[in-house]
Amino acid sequence: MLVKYFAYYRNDTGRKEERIPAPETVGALLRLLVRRYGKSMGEKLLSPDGLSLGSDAIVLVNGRNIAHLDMLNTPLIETDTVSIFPIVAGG
Amino acid sequence: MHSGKGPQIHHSLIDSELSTFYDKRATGTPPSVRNTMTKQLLLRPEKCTNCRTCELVCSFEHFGRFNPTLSAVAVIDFAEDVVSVPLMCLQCEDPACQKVCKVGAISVEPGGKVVYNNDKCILCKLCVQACPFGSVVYSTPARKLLRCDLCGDNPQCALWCAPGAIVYADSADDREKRRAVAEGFKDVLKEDTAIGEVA
Amino acid sequence: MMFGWKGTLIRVNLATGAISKEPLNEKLAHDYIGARGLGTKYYMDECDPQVDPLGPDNKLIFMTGPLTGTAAASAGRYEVVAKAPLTGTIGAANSGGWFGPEIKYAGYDGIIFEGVSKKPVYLYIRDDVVELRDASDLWGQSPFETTDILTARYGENYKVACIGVAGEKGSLMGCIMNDKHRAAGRGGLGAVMGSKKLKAVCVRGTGAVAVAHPEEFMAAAKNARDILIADPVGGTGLAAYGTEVLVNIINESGALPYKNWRSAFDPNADNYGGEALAANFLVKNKACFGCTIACGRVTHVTNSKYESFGEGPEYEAGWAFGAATGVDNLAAICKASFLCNELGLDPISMGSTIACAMELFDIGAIDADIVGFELKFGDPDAIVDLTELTGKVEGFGADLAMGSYRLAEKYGHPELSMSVKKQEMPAYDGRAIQGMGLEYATSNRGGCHVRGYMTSPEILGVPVKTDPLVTEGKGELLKLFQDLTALIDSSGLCLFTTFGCGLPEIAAQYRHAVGTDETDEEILLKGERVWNLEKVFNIAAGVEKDTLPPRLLREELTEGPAAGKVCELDVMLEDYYAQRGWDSEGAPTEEKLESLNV
Repeated sequence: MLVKYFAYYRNDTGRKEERIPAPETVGALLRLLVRRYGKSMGEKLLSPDGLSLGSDAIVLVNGRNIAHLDMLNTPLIETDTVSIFPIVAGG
Repeated sequence: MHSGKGPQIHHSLIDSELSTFYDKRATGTPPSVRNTMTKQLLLRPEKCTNCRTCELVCSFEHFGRFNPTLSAVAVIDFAEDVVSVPLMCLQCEDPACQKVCKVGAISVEPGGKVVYNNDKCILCKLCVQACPFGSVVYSTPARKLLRCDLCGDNPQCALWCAPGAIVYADSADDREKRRAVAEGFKDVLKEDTAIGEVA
Repeated sequence: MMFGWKGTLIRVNLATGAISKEPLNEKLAHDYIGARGLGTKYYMDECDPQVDPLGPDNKLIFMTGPLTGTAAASAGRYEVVAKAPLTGTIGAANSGGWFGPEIKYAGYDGIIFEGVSKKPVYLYIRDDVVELRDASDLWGQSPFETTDILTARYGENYKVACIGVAGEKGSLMGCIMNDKHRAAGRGGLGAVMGSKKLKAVCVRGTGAVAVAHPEEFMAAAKNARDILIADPVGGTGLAAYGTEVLVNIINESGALPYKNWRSAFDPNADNYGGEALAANFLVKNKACFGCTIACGRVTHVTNSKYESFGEGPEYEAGWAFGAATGVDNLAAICKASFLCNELGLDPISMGSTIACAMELFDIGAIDADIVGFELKFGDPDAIVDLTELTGKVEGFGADLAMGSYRLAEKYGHPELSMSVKKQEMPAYDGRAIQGMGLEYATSNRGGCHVRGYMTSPEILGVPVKTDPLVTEGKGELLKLFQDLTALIDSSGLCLFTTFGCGLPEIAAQYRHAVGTDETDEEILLKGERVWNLEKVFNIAAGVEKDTLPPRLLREELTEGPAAGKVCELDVMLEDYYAQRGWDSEGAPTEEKLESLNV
């Protein structure tokens, strides 16, 4: 599957996107990314207990915000694209 | 207080409410607590966004209204070069303003804070001329000298400065710039260590 | 003595040169707050809604709010109000920078301009001194040059609002620029100013703004600022990447209108998003008056034939010259955006109108003889060259200068104008963000995102998370956003404060500034009153009904999360009108107006 990073997540990961074998759920993916990219990423991506999404993170699966899917339990398959953003705004 | 002494200048440019507010506040402010000023205003112009909140809150603290022209701090903006620098009196240890003051209205506390005695001041404005930094300004409407008094050891400019361009701290404790330099070393050393581990 | 407000207005008759000062109507100020609301109320009390926007009877009002110039969070804004020539609606455009507070410090809440001057003039204000002065030497100068000339003449502390060549020559996307880089952008109010031969307002004030409850006010202001500083958007997000950072998230959500809204995904968006801007051209971020957010960008484009220096581009401009036209050359996008500032053009309308022309060319409705060259989607030279031509209202630029609706209508395809009430819609597709579609359709100044920014709950999940693809609940939420925004715009605060602050923080600052004990709800009601007032004007002016371009209502998106979707406007409109207490045609009922005391 394709994972895309935006804004300061690019600093944490050192890349714009990468291919990763799809874990079962979004939660499993995020925990994998925290293990791979460390504390700085983890603090933003997941809540301190690691059980819910960080309050500053937006995760889209194929363009749909997981808030409107099944949050961290949203299932993933190989053809999915996951996009990870901080909460940003403009106008 | 000025209202009680000397000839009154009757002039439409003078706003008596401003000086009244200032005087009340000045008498209401206790002298600095331990006479040991260890903190000072530290300027970090590289962080300044030119929002000028410092000017607003300074005028409010001293005159009870928002009016950047009544501020003891001024942000100088170099728009073309995208640089802006907040400037105010930084409490010289050997102040020129004190030297030129003929009535002894300016003194330096043991801790280093420069103090103005409004009761002695005759508003000759020599201190305005003498300050080599332009950090003493005379306000006609307020009939006051505008000069940083550290807001009774709680400078409002620093308190309200969101980007941290003005900080009130003990410079001996201030390791921010040194830390930035040290981080350069850290990265180099960390890389060396990592290479060592691989090897 | 009034607190917050200064209590005095300047009235300038440009035809006779007469200048007078009058007390602010306190009752109106209480009911309509200031800036957008109070400006609109004054306008409606004095002008016929059927007036010709570019004729002598249209008035042009600059109005500040009671919080403008105070230490409230991001309180540097002012509003320009007139009947808008682009839309025929009430025109109200607000802007930040430094100009608004300076009017307050000079001792005024606002300025009402009437009539038309025989020769170019500017208004000079130094505290009590208010004079019309000859602007023959300024006419034809850019906002940058005009500002430089006036500040060289009078001093660097003078603040200048002025029009560029676009406004002078009557472009319906001409805006009013202040402090060089800030714009009261939408609706063509620059053309109104140009029609009056009023080049600039140049102001310096040395007075003060006082508040009613000093201690409580400062506590409320500090609280609002601390909330913004701690907020992930207001505190770090906007400061680090500017508004352009939205490009990627809106695009990934399948909601970035591409090539004149033919689709809503730009495969090349990452080439000109906030990340690319920060990596390539950003010099520094910069704040407006008293703002902790500092969303402004100072940008320097080097090593490119589009070499340029300026502020921006903001998200909307980045989109209008980027995705909308299919261009992904960031240097060209920056250059076109800077040109808008130099010429005094609204970049949203400009980029969208070029996009519309590109589609007209694509389907063969216009050709190279009309345009002057082959006008292809994705051509970076085209956006730069056509922006320049439009600002000068020359050649094909004269067609573009009237906006996309009049352009598309002239060449037989009005349906290709992506506009609402003839004003170009901004950078969010109403098919993929349903609530934004409703916002565009119902905005009282035509296609606009800043009357009720539904992207915030629908995409960013702030302050509540609501699904962008559903229609339920959008009417109620949009009404709340629109009313709150009207309150914010009218008080002199920046809309961006809502990225951290809500009604309690905004109401507290207002309450302690002006000295009222009204509840949060009573204060919000003023926002609703402003909204209804604007609607009353539009109905009296004969503005077309609330709808969207047929493309959004009939052409389904074909890819992304909103594939197969159109904007389900009808169902949302019905709900929205009910929420507003309006009739099914979208008109405020007598009872509603009476209950709001409009």
